[in-house]
This record gives sequence, C-alpha cells and structure tokens, in this order.
Amino acid sequence: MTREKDAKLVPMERMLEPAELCAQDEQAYSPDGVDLTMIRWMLSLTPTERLRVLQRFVNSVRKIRARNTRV
Amino acid sequence: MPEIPEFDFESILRELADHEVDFIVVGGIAAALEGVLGNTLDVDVVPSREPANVGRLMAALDSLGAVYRLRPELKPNESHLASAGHKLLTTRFGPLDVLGMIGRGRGYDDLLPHAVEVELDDGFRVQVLNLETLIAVKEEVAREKDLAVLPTMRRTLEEKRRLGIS
Repeated sequence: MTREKDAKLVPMERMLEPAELCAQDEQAYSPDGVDLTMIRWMLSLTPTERLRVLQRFVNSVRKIRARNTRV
Repeated sequence: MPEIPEFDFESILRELADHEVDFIVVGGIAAALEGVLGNTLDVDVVPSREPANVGRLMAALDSLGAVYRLRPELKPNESHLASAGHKLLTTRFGPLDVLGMIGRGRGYDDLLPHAVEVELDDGFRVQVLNLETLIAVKEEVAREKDLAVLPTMRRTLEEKRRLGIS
C-alpha cells in the first residue's frame, strides 16, 4: 500500500516527512545538546513531584545495581 | 551483603524541619527542587552554625541515626557540626552531607539571601538555594563533575525565565 493510500485511510492525521521530524528533533535540543523537552517536563511538576522523580530514579538504579553486583 | 534502606530524601528534610533546624538545601537536591533534571545520591545542606541551631541539628541527626559514612562507629558531635568542614554522613533514610561552607567560603548567612522557600507536601517548608546561585557555586568550584552539569542547569534557568517561573 502506498503512502498516498495510507494517508487517505487516516485523513485526520497529517503525515510528517522525515525532514520535518528531524527539524522537530532539533528544536528539542539546545545548541549545547541539552534535551529541552525534559527540562520543560520537569518544570511542569511541583517541587515535591520533582523530588520524587529524583528519588525514584536513584532507588531504581540502586535496585538494578543490587541485582547485578558485578555491573 | 547488608540491606541498604531505600533512599528517602523527603524524610531527611522533614526530620530537619521538624527539629526546627535552620538550614539551606544545596547541591543536587536543591537543583532538582529548582527544576533541574539530574541525579544525586545524597542530601546536601548548609546549616546555621549558631550554637542553638547546632543543638537542634544534633537532635535531628540523632533521630536520623546519622553516623559518618567512612567511620560508621563515629557519630557527629557539636564541635564537628560547628566547624566549616564537610561532614559526610549516612542516615536511616540515606546519605546526608552537612556542609559548613560551599564554594568559595559561602556559609549559611552568605547563602540565606539567595535561598527560596519551598513548600513540600504536608506543608513543611525548606529553604533552597536558588538556581542562579547554584550555578554560581558550580562555576566557582569548577571541578569536572560540576562543569558537566552546568549546561543543563543554565538551560533550565533560561527556560524558567522564558516561562516566567520564579
């Protein structure tokens, strides 16, 4: 099935060309390579939620390391 | 291998707040509270080294079961806590660094004007070093590990300003 036919099957969705997707990805990063989408997500949280994100991350890493003592 | 307790940063801060300790959260936890997505393994605080506060800090640390990380048979005492040095402790809720000074000799009184009050769940409040000053301290210290996180901290500050988040 061609892309044109696919597009007809899902008329509500505009299909992004690879070049457009790349452009979107570029906007997601600062010139020095920082992921701005993650920054914006973190800033959307309350301080308590931010603290819990960090806490869960740390505890998850520690659990994985405890299961894989040689890693 | 001994059972290592789950890290619970909130409980460490709550214990200090419950004992009415005057302190400022700095380091990675402060950065996280200010919106920086990073990672850290310990709670860093700069307490007031006024004698009455040292007493309250001692009580809080006792309640947390704090001992030196490298010498677990040793508990911090008042003279340790009144010093400008770094006390690297472990508690029943995870590691806690009690720092007399950070950066180029910045103590509690120097940092307090640059702290913001943050309310956590259940209404307890902590003073947190603001992102501008966290960046300034990292720039002062300028160790490799500090320089590595600066791009993320600077971009977060830019985003906060752009979005009008104080």
